[in-house]
Amino acid sequence: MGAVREMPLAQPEQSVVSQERDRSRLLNIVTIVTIIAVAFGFYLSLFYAGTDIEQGEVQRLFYIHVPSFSGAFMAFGATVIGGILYLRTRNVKWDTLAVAGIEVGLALSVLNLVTGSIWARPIWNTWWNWDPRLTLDAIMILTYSACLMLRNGIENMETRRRFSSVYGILAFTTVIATLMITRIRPDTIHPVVFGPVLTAASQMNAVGGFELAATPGVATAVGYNSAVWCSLVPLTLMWHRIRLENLAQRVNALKARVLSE
Amino acid sequence: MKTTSFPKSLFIGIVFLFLLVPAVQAQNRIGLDAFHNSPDGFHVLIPQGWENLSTQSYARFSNAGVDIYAASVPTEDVQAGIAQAIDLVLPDFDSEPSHVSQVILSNGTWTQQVYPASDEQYVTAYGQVYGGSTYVIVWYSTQPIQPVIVSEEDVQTGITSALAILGSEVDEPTSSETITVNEQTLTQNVYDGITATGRVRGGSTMVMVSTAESEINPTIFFTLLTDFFITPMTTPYLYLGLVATAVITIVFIGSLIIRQRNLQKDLQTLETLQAEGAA
Repeated sequence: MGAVREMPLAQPEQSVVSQERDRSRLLNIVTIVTIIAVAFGFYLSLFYAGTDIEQGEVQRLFYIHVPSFSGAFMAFGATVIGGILYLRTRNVKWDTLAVAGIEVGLALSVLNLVTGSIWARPIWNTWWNWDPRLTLDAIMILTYSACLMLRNGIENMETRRRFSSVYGILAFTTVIATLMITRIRPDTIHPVVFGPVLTAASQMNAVGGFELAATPGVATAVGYNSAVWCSLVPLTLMWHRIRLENLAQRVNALKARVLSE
Repeated sequence: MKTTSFPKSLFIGIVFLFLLVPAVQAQNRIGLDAFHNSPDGFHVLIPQGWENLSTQSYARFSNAGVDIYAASVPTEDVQAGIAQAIDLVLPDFDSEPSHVSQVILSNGTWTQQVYPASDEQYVTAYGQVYGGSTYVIVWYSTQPIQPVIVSEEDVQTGITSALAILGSEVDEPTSSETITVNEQTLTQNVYDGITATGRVRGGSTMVMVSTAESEINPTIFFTLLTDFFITPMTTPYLYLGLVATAVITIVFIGSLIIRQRNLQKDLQTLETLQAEGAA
């Protein structure tokens, strides 16, 4: 158990200031690229992809619904990596990565859940039901929400980070379960549009699926949006969240120093 | 060094993502020609081997003297809608239906209008009201072949009823056999000068009545009719989803910005306090 490595305190050196400026500039570039990439994805989704003949225009929510889960998966995955590396090294930066992953993953999961619910209203004739996929998705969101709340309730910083790391690693099982349930259970009505199905029976009750090749532009829009939302979107949001956490740590450290003087 | 190599990698990654568009689009072309997608929101299977003569106003498929039309007209009165659709696709056809009935198919209830044969024109039309419009499919033939659907689950009773609707009084068929066309099992009855081919689908019997030898696949029309899609109007839910997406995004990014600003204010205050303390 090594000692916890805290952030450098205020009054940074000139080289550190220069590095921060470079990072900020890079973050601005990444943010602009992400905005352009997401905007282009919306163009593909709303204007380029054809209208699904069975579901109509609401099917276009699919281009937000699925990619947002992909983004959440990557963010929660980053939480696992951050948690493991924090437990191994006790370096605060890994805890910062983990908490950024939780927050970004939660935002993207909520987006996934809300767009799915709106899509379900005309297609399943209900906003919500206790389908295994929907139930697990709700459990996943509640699990990560609880992680943030419990984390903030622990005063001791080292204990907080250790608790958060272990929780973040274990909570990932809910993400895996949410991803896999529609590919295994026969009693789900949630469709699997792409990716492997582990048991053929798992899709026999599915409602609202569609063939990617049945409508022009659908595969393109799905492929592009998924690529952007599972790479650029979580990367950019997490980077902003990490910068925020670093600033918070700096403020807390300075506050402690001022109070002690 | 780090700050220059990462943007380069990012740029290459973005270029790669954009290259996915034409690559995936190329794969997308498989099977796209199977349906005629009308701007009016309906979609209909293009029969294999039939000439696609569709226009922006209606779908039209033609084969050896037989035309099948599909059109939509903005009325909720189904009979008026069928009349308007026939005026649109067959402007010279002028006749009143001899038979009107409701038929239940897998894609909803259709109003059937059978027109009496005249001047070597054989017409049957089906209409369905959805979302303020009437969607119509019209069979038009210059050969003596005409389709009829009856609400019968027994194929022999169905064929007899269909022949009665067309005004053909028949006794027992001279032959009755089961044939397979396009992997569909059909019952074919031959009478004196009349051939009637029927199949049961759901609770209805679909019958194609012919008084002439023809190479037209009699199952085409019914396959087309049952594969006819009307795209539902779900646009308001798309708008709702986009609004929800915008709200969630704004709330999350807004919270990041507000927290950042608050922390920067705190930092400034603390730095001022520290400087004052040092002084």
